[in-house]
Amino acid sequence: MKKTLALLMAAAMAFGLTACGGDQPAANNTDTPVATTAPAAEVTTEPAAVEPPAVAEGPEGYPQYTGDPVELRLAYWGNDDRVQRTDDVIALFESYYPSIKVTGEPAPGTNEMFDMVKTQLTAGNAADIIQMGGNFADFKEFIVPLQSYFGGELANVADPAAFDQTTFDIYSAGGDRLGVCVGKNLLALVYNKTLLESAGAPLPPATWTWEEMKAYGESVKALLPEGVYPFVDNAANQANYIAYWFRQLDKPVWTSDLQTFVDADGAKGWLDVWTGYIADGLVPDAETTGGYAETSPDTSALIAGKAAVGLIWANQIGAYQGATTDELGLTVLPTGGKPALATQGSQCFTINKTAASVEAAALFLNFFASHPEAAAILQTNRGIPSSIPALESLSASAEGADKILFDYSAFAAASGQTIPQDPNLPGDQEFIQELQRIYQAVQFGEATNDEGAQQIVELITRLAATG
Amino acid sequence: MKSFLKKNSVPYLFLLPWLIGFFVMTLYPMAMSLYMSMTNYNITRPNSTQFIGLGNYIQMFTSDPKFMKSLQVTFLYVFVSVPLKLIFALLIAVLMNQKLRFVGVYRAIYYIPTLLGGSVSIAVLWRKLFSKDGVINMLLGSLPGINASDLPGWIANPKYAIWTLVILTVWQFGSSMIIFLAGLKQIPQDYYEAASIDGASKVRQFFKITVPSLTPVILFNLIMQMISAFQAFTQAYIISGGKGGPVDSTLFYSLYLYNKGFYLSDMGYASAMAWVLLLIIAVLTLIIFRSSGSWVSYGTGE
Amino acid sequence: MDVNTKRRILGGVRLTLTHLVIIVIGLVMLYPVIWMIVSSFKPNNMIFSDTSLIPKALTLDNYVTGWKGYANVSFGQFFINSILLCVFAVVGNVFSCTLAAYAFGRLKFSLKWLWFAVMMLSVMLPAHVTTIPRYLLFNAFGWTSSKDVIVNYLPIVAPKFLAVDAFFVFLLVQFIRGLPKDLDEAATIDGCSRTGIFFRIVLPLTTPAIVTTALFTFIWTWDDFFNQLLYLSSPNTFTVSMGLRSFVDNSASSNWGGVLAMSTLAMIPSFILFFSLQKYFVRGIATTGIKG
Repeated sequence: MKKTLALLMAAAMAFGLTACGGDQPAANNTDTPVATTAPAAEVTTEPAAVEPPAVAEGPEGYPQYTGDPVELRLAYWGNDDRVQRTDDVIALFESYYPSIKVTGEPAPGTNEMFDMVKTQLTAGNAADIIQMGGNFADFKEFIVPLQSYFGGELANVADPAAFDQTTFDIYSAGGDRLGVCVGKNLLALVYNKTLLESAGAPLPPATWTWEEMKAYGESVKALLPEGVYPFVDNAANQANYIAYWFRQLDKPVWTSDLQTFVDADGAKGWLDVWTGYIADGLVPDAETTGGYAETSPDTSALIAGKAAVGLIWANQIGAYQGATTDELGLTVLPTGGKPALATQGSQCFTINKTAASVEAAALFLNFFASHPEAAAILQTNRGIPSSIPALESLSASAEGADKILFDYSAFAAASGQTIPQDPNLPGDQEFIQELQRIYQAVQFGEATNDEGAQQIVELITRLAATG
Repeated sequence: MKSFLKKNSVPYLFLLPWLIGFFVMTLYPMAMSLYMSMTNYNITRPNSTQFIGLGNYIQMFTSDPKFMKSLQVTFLYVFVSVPLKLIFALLIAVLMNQKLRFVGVYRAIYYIPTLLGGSVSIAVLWRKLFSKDGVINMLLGSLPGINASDLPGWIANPKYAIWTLVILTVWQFGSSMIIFLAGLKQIPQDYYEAASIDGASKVRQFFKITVPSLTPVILFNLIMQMISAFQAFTQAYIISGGKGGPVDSTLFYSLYLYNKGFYLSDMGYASAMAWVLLLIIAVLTLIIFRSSGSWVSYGTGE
Repeated sequence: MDVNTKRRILGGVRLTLTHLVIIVIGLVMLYPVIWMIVSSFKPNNMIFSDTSLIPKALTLDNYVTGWKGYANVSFGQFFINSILLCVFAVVGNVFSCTLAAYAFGRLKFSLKWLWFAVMMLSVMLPAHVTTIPRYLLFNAFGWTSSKDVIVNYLPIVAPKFLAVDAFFVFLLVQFIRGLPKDLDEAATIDGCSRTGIFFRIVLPLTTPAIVTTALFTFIWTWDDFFNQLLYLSSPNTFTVSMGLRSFVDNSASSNWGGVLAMSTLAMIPSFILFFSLQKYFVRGIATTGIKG
C-alpha cells in the first residue's frame, strides 16, 4: 500500500505537469489584460467609425448611446431592499437606453460576492460592472481606467458642480480613476437615546475630546443598569477607527504617496485607551465583546442593549434604527490632535476590462450615480448621495433616520474635522482581520499592550511593503 | 489477450462513469491545484505569477505561525471530536435499532440537528447557547454554588471556543448514526438468535456480534469522519464569521486555507496547504487501512 | 409474586426507563431547534431581545416576509429549484456510485488498486483549491452564466452522474464488501454472470446503503452553498441555501426572522424524506431468504 501511494503521487505529479499545459490561471489570464490594457480609447471610437450612428438614446442632458444593442451584467451585494431599488433603477435606465440591457447579479454579502467574482475573473467570465469596496485596489489589473470617459459617457459624474469629485481621488491607482462612487460615508458614534434618558444620564455632547469622552463614560456608568456599559469596545472591529487615531496623531497608516507613518507609541496609545476602558468598566468585558462582531445591527452590542454608545458607519443608522424600538442618535468621534474624520466613497462601481461594451457600462454608472430619478429611487440606500442636487433634494425632505444622517454629515462637514479619505492599506482585508486577532490577544492577556502595539506596527509595515 | 479482456471488460464497464468523471472533472482540477501550489499565484494578480518550486511549502513550516496554530487546532479537533461522535452515533444507533414503540419517531427526531447542517441559523443558535449570558450559563447558574456571572462566555473565550465546535460536531451525529443503522440491518438476525440460545447477555452480544459485524462500517465511518473533520469548514466559518477567532482559537486548517485562498486571494499558498493536508490525511488513512486487516472482517459475520 | 409477574414488571420498568432516557436526551438535543422554531414566530425585533422559549407575542410575519424571497423571486421558487436539483443529484449518485462500488467491492480487474487509491485521494484534497480549476473547466464547457437556465445547473448535477462524489462510492464499497461472499459463489455456480449477480444479489442486498446514499445526497446537495453560489448567479435560479443566506446582510439589517422561519421550512423536505425512507434501513433485509 505504501508503494501504491508513492507511485500514485508520482503519477499525479506527472499528470499535473502535463495536463496543465496552456491552461494555468497565469497563462490563461496574461492575454486578457494584454488585450485590454491599451485603454478603451480605441474601442470607443470603433463603433462610431465603422457604422453610421443608430438612433441616439439617452435622457436629456445625458450622454447618448449609439452603439449596438448590448447586454451587461452587474455584480453587487445587498439585502432585498437594495436589490429592489437597484432593479428599479435598472428598469428606468433601460427605458432611456433601450439598446442596453442590464441584468443584476446580486449576492447577499461582500464575502459571498467576492468569492464569486474572484472565481469568475479568473475564468474571464465576471460581470461587466462590479461593485467594489475598500479592497478595490487589489483588482486594479482587472478594472478599466475611467478618466478617458470623463468627457463623454461619464460627463455628468465628472461635473464638479453636480457631483462630489473627492471620491475619484480615492478610488484611483497609479493616476487611473477606477470607480464611480454612488455615495459617501463617514464614521459616527451612535448612542441609545432612550436608554440614556431612562437612566437619567445626559446625552453625549455634539463634540468631545478623548478626555471628555472618558469622563462622560465614568459619569454615565454609575447611572446605567447592571450589565449595561457606557461604550461598545470598538478598538479593533473597524480598521478605520485606528486609522482615525493615527491620523489625529499625524502618523497616518497609509497615504496617497504610498507611505506609512505608524509607530509603536501611537499603537500603544490606542491599546491603552481601550484596555483602560475595560479596566474601568466603561466597555464590556472581553468575552461579552467577543460575542458581537459589530458589523451590523444583528451583531451589535448596542442594539443588544449591552452598551449606550458605539461606532458605526453613518450610513448604517437607518438599519440600526430599524433593528430596535429605542430611539438612536449620532455624534462625532472624539477629537484631539489633527482633524481626521475621513469622508469616504461608498458603493463604488467599477468596469471590468472584459466588459461587453465599456461605453454602455460607463453610461450606466453615469446614470446610476447622478440621474435625479435614480436618486429618488435609491434614497439613502447607497449612502449619502455623491450627486449634489440629489443630496440637496433628499436632505431637504429627509425624516427619521435619514434626517439624523444628513444632519450628522452636515454637522461633521461644518465642524472642520473632516478630511478626504486616505487610501486603504494594501491587503485591507488582512489588516482588519489581523488587527482583530492582535487586540483579542491583548484582551485575553495573551499579549501585553507593548507587545500588541509592536505587532500592530509590524503588521502595518508588512502590508505597506506590498503596496 | 482474450482472457485479459474477459477479466476486465465487465468490471471496466461498471467503472466507466467513474472513470469518465475522474478524467474529465477530477484529474484536471487536482493536477492544476498541485501546479498552483508551486507558484506564487494570487487571484487578483495573475500576471505576476511565478514558479517558486517548494517556496510555499517551506514558508508554511518555517515562517507562518498561523499555519502552525491551525494545525494544532485541527489535530485537537479531529482527535477529540471524531471518537466522541462515532461512539455517540454507535450507541444511539444501537438504541434506535430496538423493537420499540415510536422508534421511528425517535430516530427522526434525533436526526433533526443534522438536517440543519451548515445553515446560517446555526450561528444564531450557538451564540444563544454558549455566550456569556446564554442558555448554558443560565442553566449552570441555577445550580447551587455556581454564580452565573463567574462563568465564561464559552464561545468568545479563546480557551473554550473550540469546545463549542466539538459539541456542535457531536450534536450533528446523525449521518454516522444512519450509516451504523444501515450496517446493523445487514447483520443476519440468526446470529443473535443463536447467541441468545447460548445464553449470551446483551452486552456480550454487542461486543461479540454487533461490533465485529459492523467493522467494515466502523472502518468507513472512522475514515470518512476523520477526513471530514480534517476538512471541517462550514460550521467554524459560520460561527466565527469566517475569522477563526477569538485569537485564532477556532482557526481550522480549511478555514485558514479558505481565508488565504479566497479572502486574501493567495491561491498558490492555499493550494500548497491543501496538498499538505492531503498528505496528512493520506498517511493517517493508510495507517488505518493497514491496521484494518487485524480488526475488520468482511462478509463472514463471525 | 411469581417469577413471571416479576419479570413482566421488571421488563415494564426497563421499557419505561428506555423511553424516558431517549426522550430526555432527545429534548436536550432538540432544544436549539425548538428555540429556532419558536423564535420564527416572534416579531423580528424581539428575536434577540426576548430570549425565552415562550414568546410574548406571536406573528406569522417572518413566514410572510421570508416567503417573499429575494430580488422578486419567491422562496417557493427556491424550493422548487432545490428540490429539482436534489432529485437529479440523487438519481445521478445512486446510478453512478453503485456501478463503481460494485466494481471496486466485488470484481477483480487490472489496476484496481490504482483506481481505488486515486479515488480515495480525490476525497482527501480540500475542495477550496479545486474550485477555481473546476470553474475554468465548466466555463470552457460553456456551462457558466448561460442564458439557458438548465445549463447553469449542469456544473452541480453532471458530476453526480459521473460518480465524482467518491464518498458514496467508498460507502457502497464498504457495504458490498460486507455482504456474505457465499451468496455470489452460489450464484456463480448457478450460472449467474457478474452483471446478473449485481442486479439479482448485490443491488437488493445493499438497499440500506443505497437508500443512505440517496438520503445523504439529497440533504448535502440541499445544504451545499459554495457551489451553488458560484454557478447560480441569477436570483431565479437560486436555491434554498442561497435564499437563506440572502437574508443575512453583513453590513445592513438582516432579516433574521425570515432566516429562522425559512430554516424551519427548509428542514421539512429532508425530514419527510428521512421519515419515509427509514423503513428501508429498518427492515431486516438480511434476515430472511438469504441463507436458505
